[in-house]
Amino acid sequence: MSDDGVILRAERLERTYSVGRTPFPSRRRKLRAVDGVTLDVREGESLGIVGESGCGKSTLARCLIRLDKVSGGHLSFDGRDIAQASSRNLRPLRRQMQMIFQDPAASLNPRRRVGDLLAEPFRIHTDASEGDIARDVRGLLERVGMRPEHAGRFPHEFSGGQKQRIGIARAIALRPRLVVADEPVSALDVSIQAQVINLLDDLRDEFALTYVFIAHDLAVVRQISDRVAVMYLGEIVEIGPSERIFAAPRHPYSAALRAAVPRTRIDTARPDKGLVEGERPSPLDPPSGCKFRSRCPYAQDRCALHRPTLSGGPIEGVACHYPLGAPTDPRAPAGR
Amino acid sequence: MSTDPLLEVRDLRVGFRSDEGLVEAVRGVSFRVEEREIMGLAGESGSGKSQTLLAIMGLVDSTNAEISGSIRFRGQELIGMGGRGLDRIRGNDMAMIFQDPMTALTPVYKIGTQIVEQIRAHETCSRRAARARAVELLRTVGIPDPGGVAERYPHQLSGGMRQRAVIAMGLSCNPALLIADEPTTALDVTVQAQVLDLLMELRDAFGSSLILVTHDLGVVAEIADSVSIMYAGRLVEQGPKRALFRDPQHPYSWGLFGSTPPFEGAKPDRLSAIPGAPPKLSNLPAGCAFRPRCAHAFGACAELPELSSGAHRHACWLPDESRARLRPVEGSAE
Repeated sequence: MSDDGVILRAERLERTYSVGRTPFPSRRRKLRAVDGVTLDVREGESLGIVGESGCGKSTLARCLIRLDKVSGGHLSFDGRDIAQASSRNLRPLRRQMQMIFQDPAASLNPRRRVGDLLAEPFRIHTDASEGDIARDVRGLLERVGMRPEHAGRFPHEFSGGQKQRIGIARAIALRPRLVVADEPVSALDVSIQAQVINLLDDLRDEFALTYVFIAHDLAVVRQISDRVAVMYLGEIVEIGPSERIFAAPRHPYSAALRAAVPRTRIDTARPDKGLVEGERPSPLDPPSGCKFRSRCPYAQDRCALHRPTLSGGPIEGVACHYPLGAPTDPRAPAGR
Repeated sequence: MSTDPLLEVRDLRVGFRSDEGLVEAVRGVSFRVEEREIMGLAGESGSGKSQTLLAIMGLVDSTNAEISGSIRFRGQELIGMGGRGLDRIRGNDMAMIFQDPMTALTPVYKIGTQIVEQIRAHETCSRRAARARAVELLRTVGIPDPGGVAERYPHQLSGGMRQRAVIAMGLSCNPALLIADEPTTALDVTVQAQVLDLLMELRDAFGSSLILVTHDLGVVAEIADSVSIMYAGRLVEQGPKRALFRDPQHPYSWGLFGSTPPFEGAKPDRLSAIPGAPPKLSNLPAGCAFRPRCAHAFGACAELPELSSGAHRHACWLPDESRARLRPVEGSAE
């Protein structure tokens, strides 16, 4: 593995789709779902990815573990370039990178018993005997808070929270190093959501897992993530320690997201109400320069001309010409 | 005593006949909503909050349902009222905003046409006048280019715009009571903030009351004046928002607060989740339905607790002195 503890590295990662109904591929328009994303995931950390629907966070997640094709840029897992690896070459890596899906009901085959669903990873990737597998499956079920006899039941016999526990059990079955979770708790009720968050936390400690955690609920992301990447229209606009980003965001878009979160503490009103105005532009036709400028309260001429890069780097950085809190802070009294 | 409240619900019960006998989704719920009040109704799925709303709107499918109790709107009993009478009130004096704007709007008519239809169903006015009102309503809910949007079909709008259009439709007859079922759940936070601001502005501008059903305590904290928390078909706690958030009384409320990750201040190492899962309505435990999940359950809980009296009420057998001691300090909003 690479010396700096980076398990997954994306450099200028792109995923584009061509859309449009023309017989001429060259005339189709390009939708840049992931548009030049650079980030590092360090072994053992939990990186949250936030952004509004359609910002490309789910596409990015799928690209990161190559459940989707990558259109450009570099992607390395454990020092190995996997951006263009074939599925055959990816196969030995699959057991090290797993995914937890948003809708556990859709990701569990309804015709197979839970025990079977959980045994499958072992059958594919190991040569363990059926007896050993059965024992491991029982252990897994207990580990995620279910009972061993649940192995004989079908997915529909379980509640949403239990189904997600089964999805988690399947993801951790082979002791992966990296787990990508795409909205794993957003379909669950509050009390069940808290149980699953705690479970994910415990499993991370116990198996030294690395998480990439996607959610639209910022409080959930804050609870579970060490670092956070904020996405807007396919780009990362800010990345850094979650406490810092949610307490003192530097990108105006991060600040806008933060401002919009309803507070459960009644004495702290949302600051700067209605900071973001207008509608998100179409990803087919993003603004020139900085993509956020059309909604940014602090946009200047320069923002339309030059696309800002992620300054500071893939561990902590911000892609803004006039970041908040900097000497050029647009809100500072002496600033511009 | 105060005068008649805008809405008074008393001992409301909604049950459905099934193979397993009568399954009660709402089991004796009472509350009142005053003029200009925003009431937050919180609870998890299956707690009966949506059925409570549907009963108020007279929308419970009556073929296999049994509804009892009393729902009075401006003193007028709604339960048992015929379709004609309900039609006069529904849409006119009370309107409902549904969670999913795509199912509340028909895909085959333009937005403007749908609002015009609603207006003309309740008032005699010319198509042209109704049309102008529709455009004005779309402007009121903050839709840019309302004239253009009126000419579009629902699928041509973004989720936030669709939800605004549905709110505009709900407002079309200036209802005194607006009932909203998770109106922001399907929306992004930035859009949610805009819609919540809009609902509060509407209350201020038109003086309408609002019942807002949500599972999100943050949304309740944001806009409600009073809060009711439901569990397994019953109210477990009810009170003014400030009192309830500062000093929640029911162990289930403690659990909800503990389960909600805070967005500010220190983050807890672990969330204090509620163990177990909500009970099946067809198989409720005797007594307090929360008892099997409650860390503080004791002998008395085998009997069903009623809501206490006063402004801030709870349905729990714990004696007040031990309640103060047991309440998790880091609970909620200090």
